[in-house]
Amino acid sequence: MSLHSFLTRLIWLCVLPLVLLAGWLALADVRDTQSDRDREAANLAKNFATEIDQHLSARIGALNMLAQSPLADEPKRWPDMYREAQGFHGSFGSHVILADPALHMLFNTRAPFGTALPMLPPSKGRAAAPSALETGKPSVGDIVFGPLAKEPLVAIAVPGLRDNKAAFLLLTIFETRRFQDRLDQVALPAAWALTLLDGSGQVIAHRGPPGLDSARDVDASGRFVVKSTASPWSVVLEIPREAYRAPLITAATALAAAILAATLMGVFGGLLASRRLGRALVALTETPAPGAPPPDIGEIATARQLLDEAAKRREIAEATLRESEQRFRRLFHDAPLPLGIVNKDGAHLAINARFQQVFGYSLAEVPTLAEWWRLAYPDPAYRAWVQENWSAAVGNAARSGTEVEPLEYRVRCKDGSERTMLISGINLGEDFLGTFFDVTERRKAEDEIRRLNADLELRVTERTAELQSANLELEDLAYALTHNMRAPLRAIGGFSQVLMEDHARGLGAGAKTCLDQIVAASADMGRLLDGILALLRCTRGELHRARVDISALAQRRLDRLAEAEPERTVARQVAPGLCVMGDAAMLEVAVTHLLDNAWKFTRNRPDALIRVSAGELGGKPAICVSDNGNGFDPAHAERLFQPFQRLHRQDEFAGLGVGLASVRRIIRRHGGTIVARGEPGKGASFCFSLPEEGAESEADTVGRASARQEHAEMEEHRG
Amino acid sequence: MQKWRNTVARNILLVEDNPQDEMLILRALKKSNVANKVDVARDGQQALDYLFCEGEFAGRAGGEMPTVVLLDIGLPRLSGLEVLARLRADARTRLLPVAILTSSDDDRDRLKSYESGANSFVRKPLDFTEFAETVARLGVYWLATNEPPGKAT
Repeated sequence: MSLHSFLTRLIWLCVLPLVLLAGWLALADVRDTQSDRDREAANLAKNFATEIDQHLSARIGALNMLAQSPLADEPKRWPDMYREAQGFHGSFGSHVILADPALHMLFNTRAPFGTALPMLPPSKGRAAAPSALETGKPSVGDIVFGPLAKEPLVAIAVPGLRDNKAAFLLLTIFETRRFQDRLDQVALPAAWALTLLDGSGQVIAHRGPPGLDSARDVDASGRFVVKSTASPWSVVLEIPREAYRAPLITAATALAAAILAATLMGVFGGLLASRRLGRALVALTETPAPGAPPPDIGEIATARQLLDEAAKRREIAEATLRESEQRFRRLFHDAPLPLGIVNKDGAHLAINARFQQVFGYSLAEVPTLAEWWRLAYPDPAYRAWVQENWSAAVGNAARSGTEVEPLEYRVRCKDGSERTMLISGINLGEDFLGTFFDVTERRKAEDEIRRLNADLELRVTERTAELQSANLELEDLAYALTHNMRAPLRAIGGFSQVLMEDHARGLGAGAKTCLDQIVAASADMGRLLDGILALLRCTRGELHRARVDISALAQRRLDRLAEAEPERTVARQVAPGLCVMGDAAMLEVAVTHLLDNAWKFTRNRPDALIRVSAGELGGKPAICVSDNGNGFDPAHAERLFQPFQRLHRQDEFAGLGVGLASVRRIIRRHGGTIVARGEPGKGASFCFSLPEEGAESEADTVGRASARQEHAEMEEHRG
Repeated sequence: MQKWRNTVARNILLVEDNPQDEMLILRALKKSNVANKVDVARDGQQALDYLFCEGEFAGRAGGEMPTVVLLDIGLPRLSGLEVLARLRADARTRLLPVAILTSSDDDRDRLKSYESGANSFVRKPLDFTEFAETVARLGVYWLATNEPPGKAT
C-alpha cells in the first residue's frame, strides 16, 4: 500500500465518525425543531379552542342561571325574565330567546316583549335546541344561516329543567362573525391556517393563506385538531406542506452545508498534512540533493540525520570493501606464488598470473580440477595417490576448520619439466584457494644437504673410528711406553744402589750424593710411571655394564678406611639403594678414589662428615660424594680432574694426582658426567651421573674421545 | 735340610731378555745364596732348547731339569706364555715348576699365566731394594721351602 493511500484512508477513518456524529446531531436538531414547531402549533390550536370554550361556557353559565330562575315557570313573570334576559343580552351582546319544548319562541330580546314570534327555524344538521331537549343538557349547535340577521349564526341552547324534564329552552344566538374576530386576533404565523368547525364540519371561522386547499396542500402531520369541550366544535390548525417543511429543509440544508464544509476542511487539512508528511517520508527514501534544507519535522530530521550518517558509514564501508576487494584482486593476481581458486564442483574460477607463468597452463587448458590433475600428474598411479591425499587433506581441513595441511607434490609443467610444489589451501566459504609453494630448488638443496650430511655422518663415523683407534693405539703406546720404562728405570736406580752397596769404598762423598739423587729421582719417576699406569689401567679392557650397587660399594670402602684408621672419627652417611648401570670394577675404582679423597681431605676436621647421597646433574639423577673437609677454590675445579695436578702441597696432603683424573676417565668411559663443587674450608662435593641403559654403545664411542664434552662440563661448572 | 741341599741339585733357569734385569736378578739370587747354579736363557726359543736339550743345548752336560724356571713374559722370538704352554704340553716338563717373574701388571697376563699352568706369578717391583728382596725370597722359596714334584719318570 502506498504511503499516500494509507494516509488518505487514515484521514477518512478519522473524519468519517465525525461526519456521522455531525449528521446524527443535525438530524436530532431538525427533529427538535420539528417537534418544537408541532408543540407550538398544537398549543396554538388548544389555546384557541380553550378561548372558544370559555366564551361558550360563560354564555352557557349565564343562560343556566337564567334557566334556573323561577321567573320562567310562570308566563306572567316572563316580562321580568325578559328584562333579565335583556341584561344578559346587554352583557354578552347576543340576544336571548325563550322557547317552549315545542320550539315556539316565547320571547326574543331582539324584539320587544309580547311581539308575535315565529317558530324557531329548523336547522340543518345538528341544532342546539333539539339536542338540548333530547339530552337535558346545554348544547351548542351547528352553524345556521339566520333568517333575520341574514348572516351565519350559531346558537346555544340550555334546557330549563323542571323535575328532570326540559320545561323550556333558553337560547342565545350570535353571529359567527364574533368568532372570526377572535380568530383574527390570534397571533398566527404566516402561511398557517386556523379554522373553527362546527359539529358537522362547517366552517365557523377561518383564517389562512388564500388559495389553500387542505386536501391538497396539507399533510396529516401538518394538521392539528383540538375538540371543543363545551361544544361539538373543533379547532383545526393547518400548516401547509410547504410551510411545514421549509424550516426543516432550511435547518437541514444549513447543517448539511456546515458538515460538508467541516468535512471538506478536515479532509483538506488532513490531506495537506498527509501530503507534507508523505513528502517528508518519501524524501527519507531518497538521497537528498546537496545543500537541501533539513526536514522541518523534528523526528524526520533526526531520522534523516541517522539515515545520512548510516549512508555515510555504509559509503565508507563500501569504499573500504571495494578497496579491500581491489587489494585482494591485486594480491591474488600479482602474488609471487601460483594461486588458484576452485569452486565446490571442482571448476577453476581463477588462476593468477604466476600460476600460468610457473606451470604454463592457461585457465582454458585447466578449467576444472580434474583437468588440472590429468595434466599436472600424468602418471595415473601418482595421480591416484595425489587425489587420495588431497581429498583426505581437504576433508580433514573441512572437518577441523583449519587450512589444508601442506603437502609436497610433483607437478608436471606444460613444458614437460617437473616441479616440486608444497600445495596447501584454505576454505573461502563456497570456494577454495589453493596455494602452490615452489620447493623444487629447496628440495634439491635439501637432498644435497641430506646427501652431504649422510656423507659427513659417514666420514665422522669413519673419522671417529679412526680417532678412536688412534687413541687406543696411543693409549696402548703410552701404556707400553710407561711399562717399558720401568725396566730401564729399575736398572738406573738398581745399579746406582749396587754401586753404592758393592763399590762404596771406591766412591767419594760427592759421588755418593749424586748416586743418592739418582736413586731418589728414579724412585720419583717410578711413582709417576705407576700413576700413569694406574690411570691408563683403570679404563682398560671391555666395559661390562651391569647393575652396580654404589651404596654397598661406598659402605664397604668407608668401613675399610675406618678400619685402617680407627683413631679417626668420621661420620659416614650412605643413602641406601643408590644403583647405576655400569662396569662394576671401574665404578669401584671411581668410588674408591672419591671416598679416599674425601677421607684424606677431612683429616683435619674433628667433626668430619662423608656423605654419599642422591643428587641431580643437568636434570638427570646423580650420585654425590660430599665431605666437609678442606674443599677447594672453585676457580680451580677443572684442574682437579687433570692428571698430576694437585691443589695442595705434598706435605699437606700426600698424593700423586691421578685419583680424580681416573674417576673422570671412568665416568667418561661410561658416557657420564662429573662435576666438582667446593669452597675452601667448606668441603667438596663430587656428583656424577651415568647414562641410562641403552645409551651404551654411543656413550662408549663418544665417551672415550670427546673433547667437546669436557668443554661443556667446564661451562656447566662455571655456570 | 742340609741333607736335602746336598742330595738335590738346586739349579735355576732364568729366562730374561733384559741384561740389566738379568744382572740384578743374578746378584740378588747370589746374595741369597740358595742356588747352586743359575743358567740364563735370553729368549723363549733358547729356553725351550735349553730345557729339551735341543739346538745349541743339544747334548747339554747332564741334561737335567732345573729346580725352577724363572720365566719372563715379554721375550723375543717366543713369549713367556708360549714357552709355558709348550712346557706344559710336553710330558718331560709337564710338572716342572715355573714361576713367572715379569714387569707386566696386566691382569690378563696373570690370568693367562695361571691358566697355562704357571706355579707362581711375581711382578718385578720397580724399586730396586724391593726387587732384590722379592727375587731373593723367590729363590729361597722355590729352592728351599717348596717341595718339588720330583723327577719325572
